[in-house]
Amino acid sequence: MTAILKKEINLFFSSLIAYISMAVFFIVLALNLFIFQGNILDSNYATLDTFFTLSPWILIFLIPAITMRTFADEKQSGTIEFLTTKPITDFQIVMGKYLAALLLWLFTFLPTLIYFVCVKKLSLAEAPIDSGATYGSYIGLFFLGAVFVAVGIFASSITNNQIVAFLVGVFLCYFLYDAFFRISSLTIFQGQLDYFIQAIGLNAHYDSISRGVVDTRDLIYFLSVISLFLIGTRTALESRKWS
Amino acid sequence: MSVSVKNLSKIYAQQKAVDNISFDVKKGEILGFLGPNGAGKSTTMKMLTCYLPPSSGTANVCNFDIVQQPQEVKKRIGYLPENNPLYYDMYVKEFLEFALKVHGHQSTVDSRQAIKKSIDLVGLNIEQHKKIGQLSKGYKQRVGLAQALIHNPEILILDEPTSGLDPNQLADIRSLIKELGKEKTIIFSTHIMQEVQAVCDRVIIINKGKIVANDTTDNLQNLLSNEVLIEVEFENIISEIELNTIKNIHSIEKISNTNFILHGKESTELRKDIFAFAVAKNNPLLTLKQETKSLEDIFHQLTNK
Repeated sequence: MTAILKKEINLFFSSLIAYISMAVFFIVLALNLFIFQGNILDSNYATLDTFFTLSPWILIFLIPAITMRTFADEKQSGTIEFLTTKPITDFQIVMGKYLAALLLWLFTFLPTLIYFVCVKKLSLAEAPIDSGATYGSYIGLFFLGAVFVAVGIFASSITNNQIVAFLVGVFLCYFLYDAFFRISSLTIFQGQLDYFIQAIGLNAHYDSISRGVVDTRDLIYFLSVISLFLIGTRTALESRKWS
Repeated sequence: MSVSVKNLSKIYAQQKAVDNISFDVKKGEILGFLGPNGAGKSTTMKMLTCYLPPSSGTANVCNFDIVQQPQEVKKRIGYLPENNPLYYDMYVKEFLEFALKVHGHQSTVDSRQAIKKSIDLVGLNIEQHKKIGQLSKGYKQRVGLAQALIHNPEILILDEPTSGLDPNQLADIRSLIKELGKEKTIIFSTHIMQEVQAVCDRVIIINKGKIVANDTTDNLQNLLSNEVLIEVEFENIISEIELNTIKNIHSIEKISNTNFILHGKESTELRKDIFAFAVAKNNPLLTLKQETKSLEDIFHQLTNK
């Protein structure tokens, strides 16, 4: 499995997509935080809320773009036959690829800690940035990205066309993040099911962790969704064995 | 038995890709898989390497069942898939190291030696520093072969290993296979008859999913040659009508006015008769050559149904 991890990381960094995605993420967010209209320097509030509200929407497109080639490319070029006839389990293949993509997400994620440092230094001593909430938000954001990575890899495993993998990934990420919230606001659900439907969505759990309290329910939720999609990926891989 | 296949079948919705085939391969044997395109050679190999599950039947590789113990089977096989899929963005050595690691070899020192050895074996020395995508087809094929043998497997399953190679490379790869065949069991598929004749101990001919011949290369040629072909060339023009007076000729093929191929039953008597005929007609015999039925003819005979 480590062999696959190493190979995937090298592959990510030998193509331009990874670098461009990382740069885009960092730059777009920096622009929105500090330069564009509504930025915190104008609004005078020491908070990274804009960052945390905007990030998921960018990730919905960015992460599927990074993960779209993980399985689709192998299926199209036929190297999946090479990989699956080696003495490694399907699970090891899936985990190797997932961890590599996760590592890439980590490298994209870490530089944004600079925003926190900036705002902290800029904020007044009497009204400093809410560190607790910010730490919570960062953890939430990391797990959100981890979920999107699992979804993106799953989307890549069900097709051999990278564009389809990208589009399916985007759709699923959006659906998980926002759709449940929207569905729960339909009138038929008001008052009874709306809370539960909301709780299936990523949004609710992301907001919940962002308050600064790392609730184990939220962590379990994130880990469950990741596991679900990784198992789905492995099933997709095994489907070649069904006739 | 190194490889033992019993009643193996692979059925897709309408089509029987592999239809109830059985065969054995002894340790150290080189087996050639011959057959028209779409006969089921690649499908059989994909089942043996645990890429596809069989619809019915079983197969054992080194006494491990392909369905029950696939990981054990995969450890012992070196596989070159048809179309030779490779990671074009990786460097040759990087890829070979990956192939080695994925088979569970961890030590770096040994890896370097193993990589160097396999590069030498397949003749990749000049191209070893390039990215795989930059290599020509012949060298890509060699990379595929290198990855198949880098972890020193007992069994090699090669799907059309010589496809796309130029005559020089062909000779190299064939002698490599013959060399490897001294210690390993090799199954490889091909369309080229001379290859089979030159390299294999045994041949299996597959047509439409069924085995139509399974024998040693020599036996096959002898067994199915129920007629001899004698090529004759006379100095002067001679007509077919005159040639027909020679006894025991089945048919005559005309190549030119003086050059014919005579199909007959028995070789020695026929050649004596031809000689006597030439003397009688006062027409010197320039060529009297016996041709054995080639494997290609046998192939045609068995697969043109």
